[in-house]
Amino acid sequence: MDGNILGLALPIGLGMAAIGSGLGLGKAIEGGMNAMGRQPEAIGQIQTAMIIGCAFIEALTIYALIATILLMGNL
Amino acid sequence: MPEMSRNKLATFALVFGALFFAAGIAGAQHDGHGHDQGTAHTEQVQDADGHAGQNQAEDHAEEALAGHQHDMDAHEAHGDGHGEEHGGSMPHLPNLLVFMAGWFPDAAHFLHEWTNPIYAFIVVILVSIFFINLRSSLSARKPSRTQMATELVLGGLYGLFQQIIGPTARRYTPYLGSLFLFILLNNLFGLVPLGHAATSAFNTTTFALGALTFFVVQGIALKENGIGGYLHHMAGSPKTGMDWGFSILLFPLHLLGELIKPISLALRLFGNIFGEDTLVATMVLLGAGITYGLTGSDFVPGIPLQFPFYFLGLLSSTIQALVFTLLATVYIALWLPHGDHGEEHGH
Repeated sequence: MDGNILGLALPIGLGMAAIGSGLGLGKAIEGGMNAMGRQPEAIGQIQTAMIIGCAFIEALTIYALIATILLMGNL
Repeated sequence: MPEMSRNKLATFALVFGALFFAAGIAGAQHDGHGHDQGTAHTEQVQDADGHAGQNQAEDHAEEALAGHQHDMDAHEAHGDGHGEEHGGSMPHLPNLLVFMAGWFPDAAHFLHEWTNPIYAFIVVILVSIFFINLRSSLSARKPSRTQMATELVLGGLYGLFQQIIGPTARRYTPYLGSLFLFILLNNLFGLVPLGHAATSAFNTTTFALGALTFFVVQGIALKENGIGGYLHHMAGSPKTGMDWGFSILLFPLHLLGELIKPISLALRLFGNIFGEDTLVATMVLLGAGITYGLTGSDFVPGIPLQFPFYFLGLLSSTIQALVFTLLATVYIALWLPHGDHGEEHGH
């Protein structure tokens, strides 16, 4: 198997991105849940803001995924 | 009230047409750019013909890489490496057009190039037929079940936009609502057998949606703020002399931000849906590979390992459609004069 270093780097990089955004998502959702528990009448607004924030955080993993997909041709 | 709903529906239909048109233009451009790939595709098609319809459109790159997998998925899970320029070895479930390309080899190249616009068009036609049919039976006194369900969806979307934009959300609901329906139905089409999610391609669908959103947002910004207000906002809304000095730095930053927004929207949608489809296809391949490995027969169906991932797909399809729409809403809200930079929405 004459492997390329990319074969090692791509999964590790994607995993690192996933770790980072997992931590970020956990923190964002924790905050959202706390706020919802404290103020159930504002659930709609909190949810909207939370989903938007989650989308921004999650986008980072998606960028890593896209970089992986693009670079997979070089494997 | 019925007149208003009819107007709403008519606007929906119009905006759907515009969405499809944008997708088609982007597809045509992609077609023009991909001339050098054209030869590769025809080669691939000939190669597929050589396989006498057993495995219709197998990518030869994958063939060379994984010759044994070839036989594993022979009967039901063709890992046709359909993912044109993004990674030739990505597994992808066959859609109806792949089979049609097998039946009509002459049209195979066209079908391959235009898969995404065709599926987007199918979705647009289905939704248009639904709304046009509904339009004739609209009634304020005695609403049918379908009408009530549709009104529930539209009302829910309107409420959501109202939370973010405020009372003027009515004006933007047609565009944003049809964006949501279009993306949601396209995403869900990827989970239907023989279906294909048009949103799982960056350069044919999601970039068109992002670009369309960009033009809509800029148009609204220009209309609501005027040219002067627009430039003032782009310069970071300077008030004091110091601010004017910094505005030279802020202007390119804002410009770049505006240009990046649609690309990030498009990449997010594409990445999520493409990843989800690839996950399902990988699981199908795995299930088929296991049964082939155990029985050695081509005619035993694979283990449906992909089943749990369909629920994940349903969830992420809905969330991604919602996220795309909500972000477009926020981008509009940021440009509206009332919220004064939308401190409460964040940047």
